Amino acid sequence: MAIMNYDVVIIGGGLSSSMAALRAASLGKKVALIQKAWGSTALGSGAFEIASEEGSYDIISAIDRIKKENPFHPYHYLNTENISQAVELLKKWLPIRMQGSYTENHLFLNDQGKNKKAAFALETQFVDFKVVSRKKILEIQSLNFLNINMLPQTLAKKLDNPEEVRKLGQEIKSKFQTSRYELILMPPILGLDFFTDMKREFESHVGIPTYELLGSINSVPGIRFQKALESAVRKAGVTYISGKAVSFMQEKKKVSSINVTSNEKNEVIEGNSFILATGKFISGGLFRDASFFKETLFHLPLFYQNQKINTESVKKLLRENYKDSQPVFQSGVKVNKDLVPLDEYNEPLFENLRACGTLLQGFDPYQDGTRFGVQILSGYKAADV
Amino acid sequence: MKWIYAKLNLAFALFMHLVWKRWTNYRGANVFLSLYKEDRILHLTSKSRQTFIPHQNCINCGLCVVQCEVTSESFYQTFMTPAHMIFSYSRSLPELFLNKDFLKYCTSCRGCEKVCPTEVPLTHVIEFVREMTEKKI
Amino acid sequence: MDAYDVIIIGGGVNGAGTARDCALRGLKTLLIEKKDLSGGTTGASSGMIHGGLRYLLHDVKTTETSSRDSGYIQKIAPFLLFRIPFLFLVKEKGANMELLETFFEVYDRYGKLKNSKPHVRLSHKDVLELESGLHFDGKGAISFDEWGIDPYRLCVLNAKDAELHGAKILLHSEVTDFLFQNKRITGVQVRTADGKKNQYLGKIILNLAGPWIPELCQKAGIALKLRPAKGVHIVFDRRISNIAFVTETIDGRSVFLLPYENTSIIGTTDDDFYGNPDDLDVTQDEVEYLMQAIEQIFPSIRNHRVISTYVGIRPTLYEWGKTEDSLSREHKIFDHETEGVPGLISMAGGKLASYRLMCEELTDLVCKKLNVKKSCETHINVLPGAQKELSFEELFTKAQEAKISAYALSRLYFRHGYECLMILEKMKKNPSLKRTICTSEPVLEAEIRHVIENEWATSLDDLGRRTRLGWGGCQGSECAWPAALILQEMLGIDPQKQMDIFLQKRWKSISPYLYGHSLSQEELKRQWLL
Repeated sequence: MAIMNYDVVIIGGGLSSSMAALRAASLGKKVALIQKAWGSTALGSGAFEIASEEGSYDIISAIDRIKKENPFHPYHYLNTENISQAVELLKKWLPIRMQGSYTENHLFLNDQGKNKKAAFALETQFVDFKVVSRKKILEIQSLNFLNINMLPQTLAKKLDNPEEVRKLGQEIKSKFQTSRYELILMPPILGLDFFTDMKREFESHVGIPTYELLGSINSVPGIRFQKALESAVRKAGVTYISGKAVSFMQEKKKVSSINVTSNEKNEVIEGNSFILATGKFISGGLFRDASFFKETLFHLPLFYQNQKINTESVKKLLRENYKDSQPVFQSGVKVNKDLVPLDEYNEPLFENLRACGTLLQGFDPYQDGTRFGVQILSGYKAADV
Repeated sequence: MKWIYAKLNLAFALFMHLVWKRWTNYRGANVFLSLYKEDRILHLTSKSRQTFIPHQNCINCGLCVVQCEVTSESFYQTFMTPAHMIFSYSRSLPELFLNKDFLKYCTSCRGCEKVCPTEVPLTHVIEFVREMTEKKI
Repeated sequence: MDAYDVIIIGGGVNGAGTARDCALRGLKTLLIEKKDLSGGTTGASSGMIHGGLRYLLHDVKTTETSSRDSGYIQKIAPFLLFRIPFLFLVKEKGANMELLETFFEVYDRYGKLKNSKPHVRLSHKDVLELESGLHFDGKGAISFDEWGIDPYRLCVLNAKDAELHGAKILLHSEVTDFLFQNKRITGVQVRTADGKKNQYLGKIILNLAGPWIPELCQKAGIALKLRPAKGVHIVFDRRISNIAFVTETIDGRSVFLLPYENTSIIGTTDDDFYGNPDDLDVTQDEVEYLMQAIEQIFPSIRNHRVISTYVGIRPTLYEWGKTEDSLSREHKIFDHETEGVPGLISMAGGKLASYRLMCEELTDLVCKKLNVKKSCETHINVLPGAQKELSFEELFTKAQEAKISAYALSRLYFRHGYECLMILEKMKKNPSLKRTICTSEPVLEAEIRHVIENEWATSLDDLGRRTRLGWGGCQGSECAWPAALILQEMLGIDPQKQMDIFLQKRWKSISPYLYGHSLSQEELKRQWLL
């Protein structure tokens, strides 16, 4: 059994853990990132939300409003003024470009025809309807009319080939009189690994600027972003360890090592500090079995609005109206201002463990529009302390 | 009246049963399985039973699809995707054998397993289906 | 004002079955349903056509008629049925197997009528070999089998056949009042979904509205009392076992775990219900009650994934002083002429398994009143799709020819019978219709278009009832939106509105028991669809 030692060990392979890894690496630490699989970051739409409110595009005021309305929101203890530093660090390493600003929201359109306010979007999807009029835009929400009977992921992979893009471009061109339009909006399927090149390729065939809609079901941009994150983290000198963190060892009130298993081998990863960024239910950071809610690695207590819920029945955490913010998705780990997980008496559980990302209690990542902000800010901060 | 007839009927049947029971063949698990052959009522062995539960972890997020090398365009209708296999085709035990035509495409590269968020043992499910397909019925 | 011989109120299996029977006998028939076909009790049933096993103890004739009718239903819609082998577990060590075996030997005699397999006597070891997931230390078991059916499809096919024979089907239209002429009911006032009011005249009005029967009777000035009972089922994401088991609840009732199509279901509760049948909720207690019972014999049940629950109201006949479970499952025809309101007949009670027989009896009465001589043919004439049977092997070849998944085709055949070839033809003409919309069931685009064109589907829920779209593991995460787009294209309905209604319904059905990876599924759904 191999034993390895690091300054910082990060558990989780999504956005907040990558942010933490980049930050820790930039501080000159020796960093390891344990990744079990892909999670909800790889299922994202391609847009990144910090905060939004109705009737305004201002992010700063939206953050203030959220803080006022939700006393448990992580923004209360995350330094929101750090957001520019965090984003810049992320941008510095990402091999793909994110566009946008951290003070003002943009208005995007997704492939279900819904408007979405967000601070950033991937370069190929950045069309701000606040400033662009929809009049002269050709919006193609689905490619079914071309008899393409493929899942978006498979199609995107196929369109990593310039020849296929050319064929698609010509079909679109002959189907619609593209010269009437100033801009084309496509579903986000133009390439998977080489999507910026493929966008340019497509534009050269249809002759007008082309952008992609935000993704929703089987979204491709999430996968692009996940892959980009992984390459950024690698480039920053972080060691990737693929496998599942199954258990940990502790010395007094400190975590000393993590046991990681994968198909090939078992490893023990030792570290000085640990960052937990395993996400919510999809990625298995949290799990609710027939009797308990649990945080799957450290068995941390879980909270909803500071109330411990590990043995609470699920029904009590559900609101009748589907679209309401659901307590079950707001529940998570309670932390102090240094992101150290706390128990119900507000005592730190492990001195050298921090938690970040969607694992934190207090916000519904898919409903209140603060997911990206919380992920990068908490990731940044977790590595900072 | 109906009640009395019903009881008499059963009593007579009991008598007949005791007389004939020595010659009846309807005994045992194998007889049961051969009777329901046409309905493809397979049973799960205790080995399959132990690993059966994670088969249902799939949430159809589709991440495995990108990883799968044989889910390319030309295979879409025949192989579909690992997600289809796990999420859909393996649900109904009597119909498992209908998947035999495209099982052969899977190369067991485990690419799909590496990205699966909910830890579905994808190659195991495919092996399970393969095994059930090959069962002679 | 249109005039009919018979106006049927209620689009459950009784309504659709009676409409078919009336239409086959040449009556001018109108079926009125306030929501969708099989949207009430029919859709919430366990979906079993059983042969009346328990009647062997006290009423042999009922067993015989039940079994015979089960045979008829197989004949008129063979594709719609699937065999469910049951194990009757003998838990007491001291039980007399000879007596039990005798009982099942007698049942075997009627089993021939419904094409059942003979019983098999199994030892303790055999039982565990067949199902190693059982917790069982009893004496042994005896096997028998019953038939499962898709009640939604049964109902739709009956209505379709009725329409083929001249009946008119009016969905999403509520009967608001009866029309009277000299104390005789001569017609109904109907409000359609878009608020229009129409009147229809009928010589005889049949009130087959199930749990809504008393409400309708009230409108006619009649007090009809039922003893409605609530029944809850839990649905699991796949076939946990191929064999069904019956066990006892904490209060000694029988509940079952049963492989149902490509899912498993647990059912059912039976509790007096006093509320509004339009507003039903599954409570956590009810789910827990069922889970605990099944856990006794199948300990791993809580690790299996629950994908939804459903609930319905049994319109049981009124009796005072009995527990819900011991209430008779018999049906009764109420000719309100005896109460001074001629022209209106109600029928309540009964069970899915005997729907055809009940409809026959009712139609006989209608014919007697209208002086029509023709006798019932619903057991001879097959339902649409039963013209010819296809074997698994034929399906396999056809699927390969058409280049679609054989599993998808076999599901399609199960729902549409021989008509699946019609849908396959569509796909051959237009290969883009091969697109898989719902992965989990699976449902292809051609089928969705087919049911919108031919089976009155106008919403995502209607599509679910007809094709099981959105009823698999992901509960619509992937399929609901593309299906809503097809509805928009064909019928011009706002897809966002459809989605909202659909998601709310699904949320309600899963929330009594949301845990394990169903919770992950909901998280994914929110990420994609919110």
